[in-house]
Amino acid sequence: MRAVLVFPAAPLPFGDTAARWFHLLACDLLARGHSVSCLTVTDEPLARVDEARERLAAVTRRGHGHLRFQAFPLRPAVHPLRRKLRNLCRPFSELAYAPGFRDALVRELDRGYDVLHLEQLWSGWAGLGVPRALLNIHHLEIIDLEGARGGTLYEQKARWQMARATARLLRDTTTMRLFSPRLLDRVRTFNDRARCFVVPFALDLGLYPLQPVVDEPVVGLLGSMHWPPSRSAAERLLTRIWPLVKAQVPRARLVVAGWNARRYLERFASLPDVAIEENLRSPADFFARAAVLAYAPGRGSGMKIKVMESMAFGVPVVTTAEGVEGMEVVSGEHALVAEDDATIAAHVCGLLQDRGARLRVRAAARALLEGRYTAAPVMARMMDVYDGVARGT
Amino acid sequence: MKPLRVGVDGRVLAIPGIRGWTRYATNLLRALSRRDDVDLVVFAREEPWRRHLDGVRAQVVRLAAARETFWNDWVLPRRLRAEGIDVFHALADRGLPCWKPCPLVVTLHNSFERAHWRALFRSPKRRLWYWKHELVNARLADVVLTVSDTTREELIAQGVCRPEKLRRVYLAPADEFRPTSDPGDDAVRARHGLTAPYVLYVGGYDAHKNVETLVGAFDRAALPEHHLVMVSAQSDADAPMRAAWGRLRCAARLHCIEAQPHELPALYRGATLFVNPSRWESFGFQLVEAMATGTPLVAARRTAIPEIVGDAAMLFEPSSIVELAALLRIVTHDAALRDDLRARGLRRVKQFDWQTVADETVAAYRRAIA
Repeated sequence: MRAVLVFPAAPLPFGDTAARWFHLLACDLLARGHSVSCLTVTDEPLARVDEARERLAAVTRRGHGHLRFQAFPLRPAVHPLRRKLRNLCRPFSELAYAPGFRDALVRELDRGYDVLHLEQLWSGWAGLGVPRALLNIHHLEIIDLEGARGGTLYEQKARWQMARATARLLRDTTTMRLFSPRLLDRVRTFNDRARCFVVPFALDLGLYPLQPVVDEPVVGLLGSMHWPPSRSAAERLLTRIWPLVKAQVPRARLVVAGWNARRYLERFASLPDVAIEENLRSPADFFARAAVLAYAPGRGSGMKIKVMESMAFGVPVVTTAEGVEGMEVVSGEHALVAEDDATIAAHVCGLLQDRGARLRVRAAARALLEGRYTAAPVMARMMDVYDGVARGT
Repeated sequence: MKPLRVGVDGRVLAIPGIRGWTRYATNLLRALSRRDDVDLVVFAREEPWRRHLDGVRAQVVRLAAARETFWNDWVLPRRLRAEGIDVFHALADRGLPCWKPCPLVVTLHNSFERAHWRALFRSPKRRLWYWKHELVNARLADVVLTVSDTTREELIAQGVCRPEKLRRVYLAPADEFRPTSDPGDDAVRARHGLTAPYVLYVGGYDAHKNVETLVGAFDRAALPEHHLVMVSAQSDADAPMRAAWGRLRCAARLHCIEAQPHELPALYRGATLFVNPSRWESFGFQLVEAMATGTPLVAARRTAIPEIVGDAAMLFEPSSIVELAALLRIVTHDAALRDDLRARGLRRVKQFDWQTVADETVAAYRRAIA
C-alpha cells in the first residue's frame, strides 16, 4: 500500500500528543512494509524536523517499508492582504497554502497512492475534492467552545471563523476517522452521508514505564494551560475541589504543571501546599511524583491524552465523563468518574487514603491501555479503514 | 412449631463428581440439616453417593422406576403426597413433576441454557425434554430460586417465569475453603508435580469458559517463573485443544490436571493468583472459593462475575488476550496488589455463607406454602 500522510507537526515519539501519534502511525506503516510519503508542515525548529526524519529513516534501514519525507515551513509566502482574503474564504487553511506544500502534494498524488491521510481538522483543506482522502479528526473546537460568549473582538472573530471553517470542512469531506463516538455524533449533524470510522488514539507504551507507587498524598494535574478545557479544569480543581480535598486530607499537596501554567495560574501559587510548575523535563518526572491525577474538564472534545498518559504511567485518574471520552473505561475500575465537585473530591480522598485502591486502579488502567489503546489493536483497525478507503467501500 | 417436611430431588446426589449442582446440593442439605425447623426427605432414583451425604440429616427414600419420565411424573408425585411432604425442592434446574402434589420450588442455576437451547439441545427428542421442563417450571413452580441478581434479570428478560416468583439466593463456598494452610497442602501440590509458583484455573473446557484466552494470555505474558495449572475433568472432546497448546512457547509450563474435590483448597491456597476467564457465569463457585482461600482473583467482566466479586478482583474484557496478559504480568509482579486483593477477597466472601443460603431457602419454602 502507498500512503501519503500530511502532518501538521513533526512525527516524534515525545513532545505533544499529535507528534506522538504521527510517529506511531508512520513507524507502524513502515514496519508493516508499506510505502509512506510523509509531508510535514510545521513551524518547529529544523533540528526537530531532522530528528523526525532520521527516526523514520531508521525504521526503513531495518528493512521495513519505503519512506519519502518532506517538510515545509508554516510561514505565509504571499502578500498579507492576499493572506487575509484567503483566510476569509478558507479560515485556518495555512497548512494547505504553505510554500511548496501544494506542489509537493500534487506530485506525490501523481505518483499514485492508495490513501491520502490528513491529520487534524484544518489539514482537511488540502484534501477537499481529492479521491481516497481520509481526514483524521482529534477534537472539534465547536464543541470545546460551545457556550463561549463575549471576549475581545479578535476572539469573537476567531470563533466565527472557526465555526465557518468547521462547518465547511465537515460538509465537504467524504471520509473521516474520528477518535470518539461523540465526535461522530457531531459530524453527523453536518454531514450524514460521509463515511466515518471511529478509531481511538494509541500510545506507544514502551515510552511509558509504569512508575513506582507514590505513597505521599500528592494530587497532580498536567496540561497545556493555554487550551481552555485544561485551564478550566485547573481552575475548577484549585478553587472548588482542592479545598474539599484539603479539608479531608490535610497533608495533601497539589502540583499543577504544564505549558503556560504560571502565566494563567500564578495567582493560585500562594495557596497552602499548592505548586504551579512550568517547563517540566518530561511527563515521567511529573507522574513519578503524583499519587492521583485529578482532571475535571468542563468541556473538551476528543480523547484526553493526559488521562491516557497518567494511566500508562500508573497514576490513578479521577475525572469527568469528558475526561475519558473515547475510552471504554469502567468507573471504579480503570478510573474514577464523577461530575460534581463533592464526588470528585471524595474520590480523590478515597484514593489518597487507600493504597490498595490505587494499586488496583493503576493495574486495571494499564491493562486496559495495553489491550485497547496501543499500536497493535489501533493500527489493526486503521489498516481496515485504509483498506476500505482504498477500495472505496 | 411443627418442622417443615421438605422433599428434595436427590438425583443430583447420584453424580459422583463434584461440580456446581452437586456442591450446591450437598452444602445446602448440610446447612438445612443444622436447622430444627426442617425435616429433610431425599427422593432418589439411584443410590446417592455416601460422601455427598456426609453431615446431612435426612431420610432417604429410594424409588425405583424403569424410565426417568415415569419416575419424575408418576412415581415421585404420588410418593410426595403419601409422605406428607409440605414442599418439594428440585435442586438442579429441573425435576419438578408435571402435576402438583404439593407446593414446588426449583433452583435455576443459569440462564445459559435458555439463551443457547438450540445449540445445546439439537435433537427433537432433547428439545421436547428441555421445553417440557421449562414449561413445568414456569407453570407449576411456586417459587423459583436463582443464584445471582444478574441471572435473575436475565431469566426475567428471557421470560422464564414471572418476576414475582423469582428469588435470588446467593451460593457460598464450602467450609473447607479457608485461607489457613492445612498440613497436607504441600503433599497435594507435590502429588500434582507443582513445585514452582503457578496461576490457577478451575472449571470446564466448554467454549464459553474461554480457557483458550487464558492460555493465550499466559503465553503472551511471558512469566518464565510461573506455571499455569488448569484443573478440569478431561475428555476426548477437548483433547485437540490441549494438543494445540503443546505448540506454544509456554507449553512446558502448562499443567492440565484432574483433581479430587478435597484437593481443591490446597491447590487454591498454593496459587499466586486465580483466573476465571469465563464469558458466562451465573454465580461462579470458583470465585467465592478463591476469595475464601485468600487467593488473589482476576476474572472476566461478564454476566454475574462483577456482582459476585465486587471490588475484590481485577476484571478484564474476556475477548482481549492482551489485556489479560497485562494483568497477569502486573499482578504476578506486584506483591502489594496481591495482598490487597487477598484482603478484599476475604472481606467480600463473608457475605456468602451457607447459613444465609439455608435461611433464605427456608423463607422461600414458607412463601411457596403460603
